[in-house]
Amino acid sequence: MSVSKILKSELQSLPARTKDVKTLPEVLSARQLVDNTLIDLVVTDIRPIFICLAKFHEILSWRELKSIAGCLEQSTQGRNISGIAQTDLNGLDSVLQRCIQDFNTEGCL
Amino acid sequence: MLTIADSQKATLGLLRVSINLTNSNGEVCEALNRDTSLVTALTDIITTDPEHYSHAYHQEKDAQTVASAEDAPEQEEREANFDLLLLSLGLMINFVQESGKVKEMVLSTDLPGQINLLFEKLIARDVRLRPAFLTSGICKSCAGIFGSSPRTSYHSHSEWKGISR
Repeated sequence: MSVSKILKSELQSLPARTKDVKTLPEVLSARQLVDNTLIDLVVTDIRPIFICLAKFHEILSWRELKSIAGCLEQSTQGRNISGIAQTDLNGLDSVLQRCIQDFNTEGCL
Repeated sequence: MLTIADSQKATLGLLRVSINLTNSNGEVCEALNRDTSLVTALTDIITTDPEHYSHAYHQEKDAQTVASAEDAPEQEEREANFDLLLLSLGLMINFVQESGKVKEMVLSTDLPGQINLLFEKLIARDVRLRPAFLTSGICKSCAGIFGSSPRTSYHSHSEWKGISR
């Protein structure tokens, strides 16, 4: 699925979502796209997502993290992944540790 | 109906991603283990609560009965904990198997000893307390006799003589 298709679909649903709302919601913001769209996305190049995870993992909500994990899971399943630099994975190990430690608590990132 | 929290879904998802990434990739294993903190966290999950290992049995048992609405969240929680356990074990196996460097690092700690101790306890308890219904039966598919070993998930045949599933 290309980015244009995603944006088109978001734009098509915009009138219905804004009918009862006076102010325009930020449906096309990066955060909204992560929340609503990324979880269903399968991407060929996962590197940008890891870079984003490394940069912003401290401010991502659990919902955003769940979407990122969903996308990465589908995008890496059954594939031989190569070309990821060690620095790209900087966020993953620390996020993973915090997730594991907070698994049975109401922890927040 | 309550579902497991976003935090738990995110954790299980990220563990699956890590397993996918570390399959046949020693470099990724090394990148994720610049020190022993991640393998220590995984070992804590693997060894902290031996009761979690019995959740596989509960999952199978619960699947046969219609769970009440009150039981559903509890069952879902048990399943999530069991998934966490399995995925943690899977990731540890990948780390040790795919990278000699990580394997050496893990062997230089007391983590393998902790895991070994846990499995010794689990095996000892299984021998001592194995229920009768797990100890006898014949698999119709392969004619394997289950008089000497417990029926476990690695045996996938579904038809059994003398055992009501």
